[in-house]
Amino acid sequence: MLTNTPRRGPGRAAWCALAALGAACLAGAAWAAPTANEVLRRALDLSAEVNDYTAQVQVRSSFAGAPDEIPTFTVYFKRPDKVSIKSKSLVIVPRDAFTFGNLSKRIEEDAEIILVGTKTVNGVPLYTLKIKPKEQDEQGRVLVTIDGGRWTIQRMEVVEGQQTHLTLDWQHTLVGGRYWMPSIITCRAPNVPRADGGKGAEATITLTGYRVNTGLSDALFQSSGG
Amino acid sequence: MWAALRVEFSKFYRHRATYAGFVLLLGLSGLVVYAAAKDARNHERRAKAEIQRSLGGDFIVSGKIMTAAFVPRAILFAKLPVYVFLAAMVAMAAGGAVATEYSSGTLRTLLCRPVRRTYVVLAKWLVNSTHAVSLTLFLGATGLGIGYIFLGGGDLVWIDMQRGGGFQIVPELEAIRNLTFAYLLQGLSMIAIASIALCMSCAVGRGATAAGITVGFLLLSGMVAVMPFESLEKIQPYLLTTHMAAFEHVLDKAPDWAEIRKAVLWVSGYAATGLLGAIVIMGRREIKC
Repeated sequence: MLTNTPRRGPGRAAWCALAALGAACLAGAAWAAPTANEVLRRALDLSAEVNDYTAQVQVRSSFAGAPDEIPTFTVYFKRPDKVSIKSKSLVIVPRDAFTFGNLSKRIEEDAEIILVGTKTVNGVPLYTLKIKPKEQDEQGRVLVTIDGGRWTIQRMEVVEGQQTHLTLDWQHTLVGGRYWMPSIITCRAPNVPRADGGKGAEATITLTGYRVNTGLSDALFQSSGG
Repeated sequence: MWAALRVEFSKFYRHRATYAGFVLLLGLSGLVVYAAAKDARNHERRAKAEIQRSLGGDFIVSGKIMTAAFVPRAILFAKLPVYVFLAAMVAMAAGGAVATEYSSGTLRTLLCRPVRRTYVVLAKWLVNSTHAVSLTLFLGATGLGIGYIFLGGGDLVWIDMQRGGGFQIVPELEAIRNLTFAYLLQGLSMIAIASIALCMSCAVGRGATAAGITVGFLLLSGMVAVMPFESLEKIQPYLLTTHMAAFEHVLDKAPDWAEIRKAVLWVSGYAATGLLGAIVIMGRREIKC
């Protein structure tokens, strides 16, 4: 026997479940890994606020032929990639260490940017990008790991063929409550001889006493080692 | 002995010719500094390019390469200024020590006094050794001093072409300390040369001949060291120039101290043999009063 019971709409619980699902989808969409270009853009935007800076630098290294410690020197940086060093001693440092990885210049060149890895460390997403020239015969590429929390560069590897030429690891500090600037940069050059005769020299660059956007003159960068 | 020493010192430094060596070395240092200052820009560019090439990446190489410390190092490593120029001056002074006095007759007068021949030789050896060391240190000091005036201070930087083009950077104070030590060791080499020249001076009658034989011996030793023959390679470990070259490695970041100690012993041996030879020959030589 058929009974004519009134048709009921979805219950409150069903509506809640639906809402939760919708929220989850929205959150998922928001969390979904950004594209390689987005990651790079966020990193570039962060450093783009810095037009120039001055910092005091100390270097400890194990490079063969170089002293273990170089007396403190001053580094000047100005966009796009000008670096000048004022030092009483001879200084040998990787240019990328002072130019925010020279990312803007790398993508100005006709480069292909691929997101090759994403992982989460201590709740912070880390994105690894591969930047390589579009020409197929070019063997060089750069792997850049970007901190998805602050959008600072955390690591950079310069690779030629199968060999890593240089690895740079960055630690950052907040300067003036506004700019995330490199505080400690560890450079490893696997093919460069160490002072003890082995291979794989390392240098630790410590930057302190930042002065950001003071309007450095171009004249400062003429006839400098940089 | 002290009286003989006092007389020898007085005689030696009374001669104007003694100071000619210092003037010539001053000129040599000035010439090297002039050349270094003239070529500084090109040299720095080449050296920085070489350092960048050896590191194989985009490295900034900033700072002075041509500094005061570069000059005494360049003089030392160019070999000719020390092995020929300085050595010739030391040999000329020591070569004339006995021979000139013998030919002029003053040695006879000297030996008429109650002084032992051994003491006379020892006094002459001490005077000439002091002169040899002072000339060597003077060469390094003037190079550094004039270098400071025209090139300024800074680290010592050089490209080690013999070891695959690697570079060496030695902090300024450490470089000066190491250079002083290297020049002191070359001073020991000059004592050995003075001893050989003194020995020759006792054996021959003319100072120029004694000096010529000594410099000739040094040049021969240097030539044997570079000749590509297996039979000559066996002689190389015994040559004076081989051990003189070992003193340059004092400037290495990790010097081979065993090799340097061995070189010190060999050079000291040459000096002792020369002195002993001079004493023996002088003792047996017939010099009538």
